[in-house]
This record gives sequence, C-alpha cells and structure tokens, in this order.
Amino acid sequence: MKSTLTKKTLIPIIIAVIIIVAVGSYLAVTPRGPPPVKEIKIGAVLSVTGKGAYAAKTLLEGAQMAIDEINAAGGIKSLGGAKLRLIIADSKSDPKTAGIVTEELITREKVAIIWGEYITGPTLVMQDVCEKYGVPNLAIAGSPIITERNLTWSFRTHPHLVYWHEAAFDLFKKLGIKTVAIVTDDSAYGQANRKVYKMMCEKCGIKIVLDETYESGAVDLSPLIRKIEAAHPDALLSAPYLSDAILLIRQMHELNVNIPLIIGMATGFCDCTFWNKTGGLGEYVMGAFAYDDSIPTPENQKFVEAFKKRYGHVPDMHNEWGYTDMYVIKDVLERAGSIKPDAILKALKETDMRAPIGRIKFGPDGQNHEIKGVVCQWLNGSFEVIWPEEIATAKPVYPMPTWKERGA
Amino acid sequence: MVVISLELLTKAVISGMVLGGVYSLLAIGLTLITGVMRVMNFAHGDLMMIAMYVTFWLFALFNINPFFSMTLVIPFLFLIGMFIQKFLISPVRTPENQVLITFGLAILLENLALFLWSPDYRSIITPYTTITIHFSHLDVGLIRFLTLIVALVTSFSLHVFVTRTEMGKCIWALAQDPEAAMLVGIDIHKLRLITFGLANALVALAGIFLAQIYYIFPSLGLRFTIIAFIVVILGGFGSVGGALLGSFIIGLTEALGGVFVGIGYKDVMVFIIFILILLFKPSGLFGKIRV
Repeated sequence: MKSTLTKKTLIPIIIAVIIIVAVGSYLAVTPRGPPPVKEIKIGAVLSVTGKGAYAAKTLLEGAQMAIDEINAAGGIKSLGGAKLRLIIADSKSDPKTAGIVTEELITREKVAIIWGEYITGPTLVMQDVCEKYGVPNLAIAGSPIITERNLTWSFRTHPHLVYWHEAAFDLFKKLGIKTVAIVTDDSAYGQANRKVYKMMCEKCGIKIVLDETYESGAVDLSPLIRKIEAAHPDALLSAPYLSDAILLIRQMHELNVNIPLIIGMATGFCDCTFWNKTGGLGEYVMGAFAYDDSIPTPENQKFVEAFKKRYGHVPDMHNEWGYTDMYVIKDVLERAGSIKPDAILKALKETDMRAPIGRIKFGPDGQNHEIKGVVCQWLNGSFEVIWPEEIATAKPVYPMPTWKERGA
Repeated sequence: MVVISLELLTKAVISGMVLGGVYSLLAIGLTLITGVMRVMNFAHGDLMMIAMYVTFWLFALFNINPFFSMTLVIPFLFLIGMFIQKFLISPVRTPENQVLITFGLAILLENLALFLWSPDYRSIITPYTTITIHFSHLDVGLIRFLTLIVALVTSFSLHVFVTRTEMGKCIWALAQDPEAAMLVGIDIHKLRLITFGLANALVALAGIFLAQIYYIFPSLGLRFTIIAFIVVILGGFGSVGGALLGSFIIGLTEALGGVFVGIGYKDVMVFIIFILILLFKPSGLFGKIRV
C-alpha cells in the first residue's frame, strides 16, 4: 500500500502539534498552583418580578452600595485583591423557578456563595439546591423555619419573625396589656404571624378576645372593624400589607373606632410611605421589625450617612439587610482566603463581626441570635424606636389618643 | 367574645348599605352594556382603574380636586367608550370573540398601567376625605355617604332617562330587539356608540368616588369586574333597578355575614345567595332576558 501524506491527514497532525506546543509552553511558563482569582461571583436569587416583587430593588440598592465600597477599597485582600461581582437571578416569586435559577448560578456561573430570596416559599427551594451541591448561602426570608431545618450550608444574619414578636411582647408586658385581638390576612405571611402571635399570647398569659382572618385586598373592612370594636381589646395585633394597612386605618377613623394600641409586623405599618398615604392618620401606629435607621451604633451612623449621600433618602430594613450581608460575605472570604466551599463554610461558622444592625455571629443552626427585634411608633410623622429601651429615640405613647382627642 | 347587640346590627346594616352604594355605581354601567348591547365587558373594572388613575394624576400633578376633575374624567372615559365600541367591539361580530376582545383589553390596560405607573399603591388625600359624619353614635365617612347618595340619584336619573326620554326609549328598544329597532328607523350604530360611552361615563363616576375611599393600583380591575358581574346577573341584565337592588343585597350580605359569621366566610355567603337566586329565578331579580 502507498503511504503518502495527503492534505486530509496532514491537517489534523499540524493541529495536534500546535496544541501540544501551546499547552506545553503554557505549562512551562505559568507558575505552579491554581490561577489567581480575579473576580468572585456572588449569586443573588431574588423575586425581581412577580407578585412579591416589593423588596428586591431595596435589597439590591444596599448590596450594590456595599460591593462598590468593598471593590473601591481594594477587594478581597487575602485573595490578591479579587473584586466582588453580583450575579442577579430572578425567581419570579415562584419556588420552582427559584430552584432552576439557583442551579444555573451554581453550575453555569460557578458562584462562590448564594445570597437571597426574601419570600419563604422560594427560599426553601433555594436552600435545598444549595444543600444538594454543597454551596454556602445567606438567606433573607423572615419566617423562623428558614433556620430550623438542620441545614449545613444555610445561614441568616438578621433576626426572624419570632424575635420581632418577642420585642413587641416585652413592650406589651411593660404597658400592661391583658387582652388582644389578632387580625391577619389570608396570605402565607399573615398566617405565619398569626401562628406566632397565638404562641406568644399563650406564653405571656395574654387573653385573645378575637382571632379573625380577612381577605387581603378587600374593598371594605368595616365588618371587621366593627367586630374589633365589639371585642374591646387592649391591643390590635396585625400584619397587614401596605394596601390593607391604609384601608384599615382610614376606615377605623371613619367609623370612629378607638383601640389603645395598634401594631403590625414589618410590611404595611413599617413602610416609609404609610404615614403619608393615610394623610397622617397612621400617627401612633406601631410596627415591630429588624432594623431602624436610628439605631445608635457607630457602624450604623456611618452607613446611614453614606446611604443618604448616595440615594438621597434614609435606608430601610431591606437596604440595610443587603448592605450588611455583602459585608458579611466580604469578611468571610477575607478569612477563608479561598473560594472553596469548605473553606467558606468554616469561615462562616467562625464569623464574629459588627455590622450596622449589630453583632453578627451564627449559632449552630445558622441563625444569628445576637440581635433582637425593634419596635417603632409613628410620632409626628416619623417612625421612632420605642423598644428596646437602650436604643429608644422616643417614649411609647399608650394608650393612643382617641380620634376625637386628636381632633382628626 | 363578640356580643350580638342591636347597636352592632345597626352599624353592620349601615356599612352594608354604604358598600352597596359603591357597588351599584359600578354595576349600573355594566348592566347597560350587557343588557342593551349583549356584550360581556370584562374590561369594565380596568376602565374604572384608568378613571381612578386619571383622577389621581390630575390631583397629584395639578392639584385638581376630584369633584372638579370629574368634569374632565367623565367626558374622557365617555370618549374612550365610544372608541372601544367603534374600533374593537363593533368590527367583531360573534359574542364569543367580543368576550375575548374585552378580556384582552383588560389584560392590556392592567399591564399598561403597571408599565406606566409602577405597582405602587396610591391614595388621594384631600382635607375632606377624613371627615366623618356622626348620627348620634353612628359614624359614616363623608365620601362613602356621598357615594351612596350619588348612586341613588344616578340610578334614578338613568331610570328616568331610559323610560321617559326619546333616546332612552330607543336604547330600550335596542335592548329588546335590535332588528326590530333597526326596522322602525333607529340608528342602532350611533345608539350603541352612545350606550357604551354612557356606560363608561358611569364607571368613571364610580372610579372618582372609589379613588377617594380605596387605594389605587394597576391590578384592581378584575376584582371589581367580578363584583359588577355578580350584581348585574343577580339583578337581571339591563335592569337599572335590579342592579341597585343586587348591589344592596351583596353589600348587606358582606357586612352582616362579616360581622356575625366571620369575615373569612363573607364571599361564601355572597355566592350562596347568588346561586340560590339563579336557581329560583334564572333571569335575575328584575331581568327579562334569561342568563
């Protein structure tokens, strides 16, 4: 047989030679060890769209501000000044989508750490996917269950629902509240709060005189308000979204119904537009949640100043949450000195740092138990901290003056 | 425990009457469209949402009081109604496709509002929105009370318009038999334009009042479309009196059921009454046309 080098056989040989030379010279020139990390990707799973899309924007404002600060200050020094970059994935407020996008972030983007989801349903799936792949994650959603699942890779920096309730019930004890009406909407959030309210009432020996669930988005809440009035509670415990919160207060005023104390958990009553949208009728209403811009820690004062300079308004709970979580990630990566999951997990467990909200130190369950809830009250159109007393900026007004006394 | 007292009962009845007033303002426009034109308008609530937003922006940007901006919003919605009839409903012949068109319009309007004005909740606060009227120990919000009065006056005027005026009689003829109406020389195309415009003007009126007692957001339309349909079917298509009575039945059921049974069950009771009436009087309370 004739053996000649035809064009057909020559081309693969030439390509093979080029590849061997190129790889060989690359291996010869580059120093030993893994290539240096230039950029660290953080995967953010958030409900950017969908029916729960209210907090993604504010969370990202805080997170992006922190990342810009960290990168401007030289990135992660133990990793050769690597810069942080946020890769945002939209869960569309849907658990199934949350699972898919989390998986994509891990397998395709190869993110070092996952941050996100503030809605309970999608968060649970996000955690499951992270657990499956062994990727560390910081969760945001406020339900207690997030850190009660015995997961290895999941952590939460901020106090959850039960802490907010505990702060509120401490205040109730001081004010001498004996009877309460629990009025929550039919959403998952409303019902989660209802459960905790009932549990806390039992623990504190407070009598529940009314327990009603209403339909979120109702046109008329007057039947509900009439029932609350007829039950004569010392306090009205609720957790309305902004829409229902506005209608509830406006109609309570219209119907001249006076309850000595009205409180909600985060959401509606704590929204910075609540007071204006009720035309000032929201005065004296209380709200319990995780953070307020008046917390007097030096870290917080610095943060609030910088935030105001950048965005032109004071930060809310979600702004601060995004900001703090990015600094926790920075602190963890700095100590881990690697982007290997095991190294990050070890560093997460050893975290002990100060953030605007206070001390960040995780318990064995991944929850930060160092920070308590804050109770605020609308006073002269500003949301003042009234509890715990150590950080209070105003004294609680109880009982609320009646509508007649207020001349409204 | 909640003690059932005469006082609580009176308060619940008043709440129900006032709510009925709000519903009726919304429903009389729809009863005109469904009864006279046999069109199932699923964009009814969304058109009201547009009226609410126009009212809101006139108030927020130019500080025009809703009671003055009424003179702009009502004609504006009247024109939109004529436009919809001329270019969307009229070219489509079959009722099934007309339903699809109005449904599509509802989705379009909702998403347009979402895109233009964001999903934020808005509310109109004027010095008088917080005024409450006291009748001995009963309290009613001024705007809610006014809504009830306006609803009664509007229903009455509309009734007079349909039964006593030339044009009203033509509209009624159109409702009874479009072909016969055409045979006796009624310009049914023009009349349909005016009817749709009028129905939209009525929903604008509802929107102007609701904007002052409720809050405004892009996806509020469907909820109100459903309420309006329940009321209209209950009262009988095309019957103004039926729409009024239907509204008060629904309003009172919601209020009394909410107070005495449980607020979570109020929709259950509304639908039980709805089904019962349809079982025993399928054409609705005052209806001449079968559902």
